[in-house]
Amino acid sequence: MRQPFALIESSAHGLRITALNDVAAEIGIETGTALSDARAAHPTLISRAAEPQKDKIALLKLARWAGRYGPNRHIDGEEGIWIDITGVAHLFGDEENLLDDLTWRLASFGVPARLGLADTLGAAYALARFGCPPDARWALAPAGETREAIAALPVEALRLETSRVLLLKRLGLRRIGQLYDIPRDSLQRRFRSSDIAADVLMRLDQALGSVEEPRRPMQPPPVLSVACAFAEPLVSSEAMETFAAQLASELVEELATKDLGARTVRLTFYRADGTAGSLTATMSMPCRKAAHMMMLLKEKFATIDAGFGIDLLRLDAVRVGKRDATQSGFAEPASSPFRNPAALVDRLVNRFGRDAVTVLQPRASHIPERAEVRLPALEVLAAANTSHPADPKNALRPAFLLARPEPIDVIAEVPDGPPAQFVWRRVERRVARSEGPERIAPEWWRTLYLDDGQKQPRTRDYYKIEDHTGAAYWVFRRGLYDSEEGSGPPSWFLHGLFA
Amino acid sequence: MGSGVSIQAAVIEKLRSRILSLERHAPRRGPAAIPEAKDRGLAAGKRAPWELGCEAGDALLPEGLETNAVHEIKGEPSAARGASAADWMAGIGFAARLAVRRTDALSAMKSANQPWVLWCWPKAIAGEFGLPSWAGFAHLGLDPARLIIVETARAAEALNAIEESLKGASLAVVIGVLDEVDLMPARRLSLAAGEMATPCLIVTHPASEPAGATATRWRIKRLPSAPHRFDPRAPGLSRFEVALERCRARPASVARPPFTLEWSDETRRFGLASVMADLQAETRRARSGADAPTLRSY
Repeated sequence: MRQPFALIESSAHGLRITALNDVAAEIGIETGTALSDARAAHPTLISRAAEPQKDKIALLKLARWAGRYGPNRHIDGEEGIWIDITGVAHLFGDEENLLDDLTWRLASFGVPARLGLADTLGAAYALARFGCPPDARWALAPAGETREAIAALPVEALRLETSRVLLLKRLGLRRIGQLYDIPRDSLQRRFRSSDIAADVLMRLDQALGSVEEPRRPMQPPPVLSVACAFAEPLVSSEAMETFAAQLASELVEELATKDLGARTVRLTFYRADGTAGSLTATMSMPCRKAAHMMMLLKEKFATIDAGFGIDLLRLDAVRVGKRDATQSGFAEPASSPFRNPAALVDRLVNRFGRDAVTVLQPRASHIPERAEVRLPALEVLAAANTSHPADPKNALRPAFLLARPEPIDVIAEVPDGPPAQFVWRRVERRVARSEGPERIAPEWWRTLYLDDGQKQPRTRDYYKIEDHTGAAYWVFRRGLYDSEEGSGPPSWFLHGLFA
Repeated sequence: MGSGVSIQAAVIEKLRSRILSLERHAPRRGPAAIPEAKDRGLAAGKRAPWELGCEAGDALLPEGLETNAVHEIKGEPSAARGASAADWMAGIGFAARLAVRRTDALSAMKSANQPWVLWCWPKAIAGEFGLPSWAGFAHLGLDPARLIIVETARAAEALNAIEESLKGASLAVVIGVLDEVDLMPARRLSLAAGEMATPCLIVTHPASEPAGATATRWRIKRLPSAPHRFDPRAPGLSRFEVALERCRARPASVARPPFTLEWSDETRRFGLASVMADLQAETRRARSGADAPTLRSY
């Protein structure tokens, strides 16, 4: 015997029911009623707090799983998932078989679902929510018959705001089909507002397919994709490796025919219990070597949890680049003893993450911390042989710049002079020799328009100073004496260490 | 008979070369065991001599630094337990300059394309010293456009990254900055360095235990820099007190007393510091009459 069950959330008027199981629905409880009212009528009602965030995560998981019916899919609102099955249906026989298969699998997970299939997203939405016959789990509008299929559905199915639906109903327009015959101009006149009319017409056009509707899929669709399904689920990682290697060589062949190289490949594995997982490998140069892809993917194989076995492996080239543009044969002489570091960067990025492996790039600025930037090596190497601006001058700069200048206490001979003694990280250091100052003024074009609370940048006087042990530091005095009004006295900072 | 002898000689030669190839990964001892990597086309080109650039230093290592081994560089700890940033910087500075010597030697060979250098350290150490700077590395003499910086979350990952880089056969030199390296990782690094003939410089905490399985270990102390040629108040060329604490190829070199090297930014080589020149500079400075200044806190 199943118990009536409800999910509740607190609202301005106390606890309200947001969702019910079928037992509760049968005995006449409705969503939106107060929990206390429902309890009074049905004392056996069990309730739990609703967790919308977890619901959303579960829905996302389901959408990820649904990738087996088509790579383009995403969640739709709080309770829906859309899947673009263009070119997929024949893999399941026909569209009806696909719907049967999907219904059956969802039911086997315990997910009650209603499906709609149509030429457009709008029509499929309408069919799934309002077009399912009571005894069926799905509704299908055959190709080209969308107009007829949704004509009988209520106007709520058009994905309009509640106020607009009410307005339509007040005008006597209850079915979508009633909108077909009204001339578009007169619709606008009836609504007295071009906004509402435009909205209604847009939704109608989207449902009928005369206006393209942008859809953002969960993952960018892969450029190339190869897959391999198994009659018996794979469990051992050796077997998976073998099949992944096969897929990699297939993918490489496809890439070769299109003169492309993969920048990002993703290996997705669908487990027998309906869950899915994926591994991603990114390459700094468009790659057409199956061995290299496999080496990167193989390192992550240990993280795969095969569960009850894997029944489908798919390898996608998510990002590709023109391969022939950066052919290694041209870039380096054959006799060169050094290989291109791109492969090494790929391996390091694969292990330690994109941001762990970086290269420096100069920038056009004379403020030391702004004169250079650290970028992921993966992106920079891909931009192959970018000519960086030539070094303007061999300026006196420390090998290491602190992430942010650290304040130091300074004793100096004269206010404007170099430090004679300073305390950095609680150690007092006596300055033996110093070189400078090198005056670096703020960039005036940045000082023109400052946000509220943003400090006026100040002039810096940089010194290279050497303490009595020979260690050299790069320090600066921020601000000048008696020249900038309204700013406090100058202060000293340590900015870098000379190696 | 003559042919019999030559066949014998050929057999012995063949066996010798086989033993050599078997022992390539074994620790080498003695000056005769300078490794041969000629059979690898890839490795052969990399065997440009890697020297300090001055006679005093190169007398210790007649063949130069081994390019297929790990070299450890340690600063001189200023305190019993800890080490200041300055102590670290002495070792880091020396390692960076050795890397300059290496890249210069390679670019002198016309056949090679511009080699890359990899700098690897864990986040904890990077946080102490900040980031390698483009202009600063250019000032030192390393091409910053050919520098890959790897910053890992943990020290063990840094070792992993260094080992992987050594095997990549695409770098001129790998510089690792680490607190310490245990024997096992050090051996792994040494094997990886030997495999593809990529040298590795590891700078370790000045006060930590020395790593094993290294070809050389240097102890570096920063000295007050040489007098500036024109300005007596400015720091001049950097000076290091260099001691060779361990040398696998020539154990005899270890007994030498430490010596003072001076790095010239222009010639990009080390030179023996001249104390006589200092004295002259000192007198010049004294003559210019710098009185003891009065200091104030600003």
